[in-house]
Amino acid sequence: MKLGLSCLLLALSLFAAKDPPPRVIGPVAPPTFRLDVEPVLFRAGCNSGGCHGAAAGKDGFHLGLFGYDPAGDYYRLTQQIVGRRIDLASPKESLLLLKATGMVPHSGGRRFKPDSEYYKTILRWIEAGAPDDPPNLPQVTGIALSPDKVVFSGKDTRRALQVIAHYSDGSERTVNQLALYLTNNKTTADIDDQGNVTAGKRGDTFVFARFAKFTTGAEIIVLPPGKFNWPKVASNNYIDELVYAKLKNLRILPSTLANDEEFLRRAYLDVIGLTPTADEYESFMKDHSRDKRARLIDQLLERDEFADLWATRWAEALKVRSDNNSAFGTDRKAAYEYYQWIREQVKRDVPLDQFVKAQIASAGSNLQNPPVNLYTMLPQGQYDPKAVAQDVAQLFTGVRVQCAQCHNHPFDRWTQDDYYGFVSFFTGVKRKQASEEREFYVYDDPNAPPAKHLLDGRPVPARFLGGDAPDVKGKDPRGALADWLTSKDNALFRQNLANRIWAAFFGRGIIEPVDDVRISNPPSNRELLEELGRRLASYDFDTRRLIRDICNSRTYQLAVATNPTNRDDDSQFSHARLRRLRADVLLDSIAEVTDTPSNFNETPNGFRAVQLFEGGHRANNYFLKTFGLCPRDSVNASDTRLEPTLAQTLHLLNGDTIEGKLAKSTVVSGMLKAGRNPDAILDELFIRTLSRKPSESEKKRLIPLVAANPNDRKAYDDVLWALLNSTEFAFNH
Amino acid sequence: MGIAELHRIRVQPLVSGPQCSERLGHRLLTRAARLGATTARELFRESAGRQTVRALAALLAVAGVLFGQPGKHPNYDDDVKPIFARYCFACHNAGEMRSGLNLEAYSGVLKGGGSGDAVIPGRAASSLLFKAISHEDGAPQMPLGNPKIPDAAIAAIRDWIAGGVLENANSMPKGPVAPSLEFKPTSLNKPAGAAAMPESLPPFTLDEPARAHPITALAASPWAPLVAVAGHERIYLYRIDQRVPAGELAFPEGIPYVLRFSRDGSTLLAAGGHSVQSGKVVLFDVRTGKRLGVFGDERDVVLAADISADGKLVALGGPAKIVKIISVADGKELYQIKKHTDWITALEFSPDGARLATGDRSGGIFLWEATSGGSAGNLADHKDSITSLSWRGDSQLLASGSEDGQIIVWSVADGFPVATIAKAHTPKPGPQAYGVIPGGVLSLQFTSEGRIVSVGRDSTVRVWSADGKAQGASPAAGALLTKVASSTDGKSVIAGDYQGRIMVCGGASALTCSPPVLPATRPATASR
Repeated sequence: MKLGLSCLLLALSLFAAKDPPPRVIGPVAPPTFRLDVEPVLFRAGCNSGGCHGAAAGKDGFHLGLFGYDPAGDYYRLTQQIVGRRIDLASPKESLLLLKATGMVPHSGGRRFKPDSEYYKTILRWIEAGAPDDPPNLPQVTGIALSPDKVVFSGKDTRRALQVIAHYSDGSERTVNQLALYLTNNKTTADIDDQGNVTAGKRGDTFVFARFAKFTTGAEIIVLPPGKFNWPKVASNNYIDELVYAKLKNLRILPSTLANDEEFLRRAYLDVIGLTPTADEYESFMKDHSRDKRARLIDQLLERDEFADLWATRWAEALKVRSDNNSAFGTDRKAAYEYYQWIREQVKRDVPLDQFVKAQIASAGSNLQNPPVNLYTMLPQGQYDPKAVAQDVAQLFTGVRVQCAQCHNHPFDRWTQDDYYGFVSFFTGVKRKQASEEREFYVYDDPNAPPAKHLLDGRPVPARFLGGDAPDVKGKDPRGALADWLTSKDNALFRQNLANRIWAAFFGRGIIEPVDDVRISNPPSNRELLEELGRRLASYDFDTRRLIRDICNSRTYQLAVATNPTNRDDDSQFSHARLRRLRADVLLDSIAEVTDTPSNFNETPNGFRAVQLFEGGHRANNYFLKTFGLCPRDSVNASDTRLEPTLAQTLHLLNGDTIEGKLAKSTVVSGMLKAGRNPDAILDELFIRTLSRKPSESEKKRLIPLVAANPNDRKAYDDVLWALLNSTEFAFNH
Repeated sequence: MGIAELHRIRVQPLVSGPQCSERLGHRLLTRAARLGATTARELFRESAGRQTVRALAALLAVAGVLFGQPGKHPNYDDDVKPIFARYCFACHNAGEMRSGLNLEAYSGVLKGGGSGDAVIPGRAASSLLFKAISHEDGAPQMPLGNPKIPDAAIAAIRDWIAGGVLENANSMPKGPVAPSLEFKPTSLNKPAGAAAMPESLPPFTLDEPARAHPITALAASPWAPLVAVAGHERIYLYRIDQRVPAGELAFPEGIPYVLRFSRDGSTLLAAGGHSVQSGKVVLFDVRTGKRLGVFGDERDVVLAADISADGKLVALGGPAKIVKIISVADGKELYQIKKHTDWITALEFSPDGARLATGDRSGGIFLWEATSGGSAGNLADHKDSITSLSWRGDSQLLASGSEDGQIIVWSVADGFPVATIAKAHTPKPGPQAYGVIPGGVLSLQFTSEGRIVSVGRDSTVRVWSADGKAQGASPAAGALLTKVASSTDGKSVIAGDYQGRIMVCGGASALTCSPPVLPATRPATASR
């Protein structure tokens, strides 16, 4: 979806078909097919996804998407329909040129003019007899943008970037006229089809150039006019320093520190998925020691609810779900064992590298050795090594390699070789149902052939993503994969895990989404992400330790309220974000506030929604569904939905969740029975729901409502109902 | 497991009551084969009253010697059932009948399943069962969730279907009955006088282009040692008996994609045009080079065209997906064929003038009543663009070549393939080559002697018998061979290549070819 959209944007923005200035764009004649002709087809958009690059081609003519298949393109242009597309006797009459210049009807319209260099390149190639390339033709080895960082301040609003391609014979070539361009944020920096950047609104973004199979980016910072003084701001740890460094560059001031009440509620919801009780509120507020926030964080990290919350997060990512189909190993018992194993790892603080390694390299019975269920739960049915490889890459490196299944990744560095090399780690996995029906065996067949390249059917031996090919002859290649993946040296792994942890506390990753790591989606603060990754590795992948750093940072403890400089900031963590509570956390909080434990199918009373091992699928709970509980049918992090919908509001207002819990609740009646006065009761209701006392004005309006009938719980129930329906309750802030 | 192995493990069925008549049929059949079809009536008398045998005799009268070898094809009981038992019974058994298909019984196989017929006797490539086990795109990939069954087993099932879905060693084949493959050259359409040769062509002044255009069309006169070769806005004529150019005809309409001599050799049809601009069909008098008529006003090139045997009809088609049939006398369009869903890439009238065969870029072939446009059948087995269609002289067989690599010889009477040549022109893969290498058939023709000559992406000229046996091949040429034609006497094969050259090949199983030459009368010019 996202890819499709960006393809569309690209196609729209880049081809207003302005003609380049007359300039030699290729070496002197004759042009080669791969180095000269293919780039023209790429630049002109001929081989884009909406045109001839589509899998089925367009109007009977197919080109490899973005030029990933030059041999096939050569064949299709010259020989697929002999004589039609290329006219060797009369090169100017070649259909390729007539179509591209719009001289004959062409669904894609005019792509370039007859006097353009694009036209001349192709014409000269056909005049030379449309030759195929010699086998020793140099290849593009990389591209660079120069400069790769631009700061706009003051009057300058335009800057030309150069795209330089490097070739395997050591040569270089400026390919501005042949590259494609895109920007991540048009309002901050736009880039035209020559590589000129125009500054817009203040901010920080990236522009990209694409050429051959490479994409590279340049950071563009647009500063506001006027003077800027960086005030002295307290910093709690390295996180603050790295965030401030970036903010300082962008001339953004961080918000003020959140008050104790805000911090208390935020930390509870983030770390253990519950609102603080009235007692917990009182004891924290009474505490006046300087390190009380740090101590609270330590206490929360030791609680069982922390393990519940993180076990659920992992179970969502790992698709722990059962359709009770023992033929595929997705029996309920398997899902339950897997969940329990995950929770145990979190509770016992098992380092993340070991946690991941145990799953990747697992073999044996899925009931005796629950991490084996990685190979039952990810497929959720028939085993397909490609699907599992894609899921594993996305889960533990954040890289979505699936684009490279059919063509080289258009916006990243992954090629089909990378893809099939990675798939080959999983081609030997075999599965078998045991004599006990619910049990399932997973093992590796070391003699299984590796994956075959889609284009030419060539076997591609197992190779790490962007790394070497290990010697796995006669061995289970997943062992080598697990070692490589979880190694402290693997920046992809450590940074992705650090980013996932970070995102759980800020509602946004430094790379967002956390599972879409690619060159064209760079981190909003690279230094911060790198440092977090390094720290996580140096802590031996101890999740709690990194969380402690994050929660103790001033950055985490900033207020939601903004100042004029950071009002528009959404990526630099200069203020706290409003985040709607997860469906299960929200339901659990309502249950806690009203003191009415939930009752789910097939679980004892008092079970919290976060503890449901299948995420409430069998609980069949309308509330959880409506509030976007993760369906666990893909590894996408965005599957846990947090956006508000009308159905949610209507359910809170009219549905049976709040009404039912209020009817059963003894919170108000208990306080009335205990003879608490209206003032105290109102205070406690506010503390229970919002972790704060009512303000003077709130109290002034509420007291008359309840004072009329001081012993009638109805008025208090109405207040509690209103509080539970407030956005302040449904959000973490 | 190879076929030979399958045969070794075959268990002879016990001869019991109900099978007796079939056993007898088998004996009769073998005798019929020995004695020839004429003795069928005697055989019939010998065992009168037996229904099986009566049917058998009727079959024999038509089939002749073709089905005289009942042991040739695999049968269900001995060869196919063991394969099913090993790979398919787990799901497709009488009890479970997954998808409604029971492979445990012969009757169950014939009945098919939820997706319709599992097998079409005689047509393996169209049978769902074969598509499924050979993991064809779009078909269910069987056995589900397991690797493909061994190639030898797939081949056995293919042969079993192609051989008429025999139940056991004594069964009669089901499905179509092939016509006789016997063919004697006919003198149908032979001109009364001398065959037409160019005598007084109009003067020709066009310069030779600096670089020759690939040969997009090539035709040999059916009665004279003359070939017509497509060039850039021109047609070269070439004498193959003397190997000399015989003149040029201007074709300012563009590039000829079709060249055809009329069945009597007096008229030359040229069709083509400018890509995505115009398309025309032009008729020339072979002797004088005069234009006899210009037909069609297409918006893209004409890719397929022919003139009927009586010279009264011209059919043409191209990227518009419509075939137009035009009266030569007044240029009026008689009817259109709108059945094709893709570009029309090949068409040909039958030599007896009764039928028109049309083929398209998706692999569809249709047969029509030539004069009325009434539908006369659908030949569906190709999976990629039809590049060539050619009738045998007796109008009984039609050969089709396709980019899918197959040459199929069709019995026109019932629309079933007599022979399927798969991978007819697949080039030998290099040492480091994997995957699908383009192996399409680019051009073919039935010779006057009833053989088939073809060229394809292996740059080799190949000769086949009508029942699909390889009879000869040339060495691979240096350039892609794009078109082929057979000389009037059937002794020489002319091939055109990607660089605009032609070569003449001849000989027995190992064809030898002349060095390729440009058919032009004058040297190329440097100007463009």
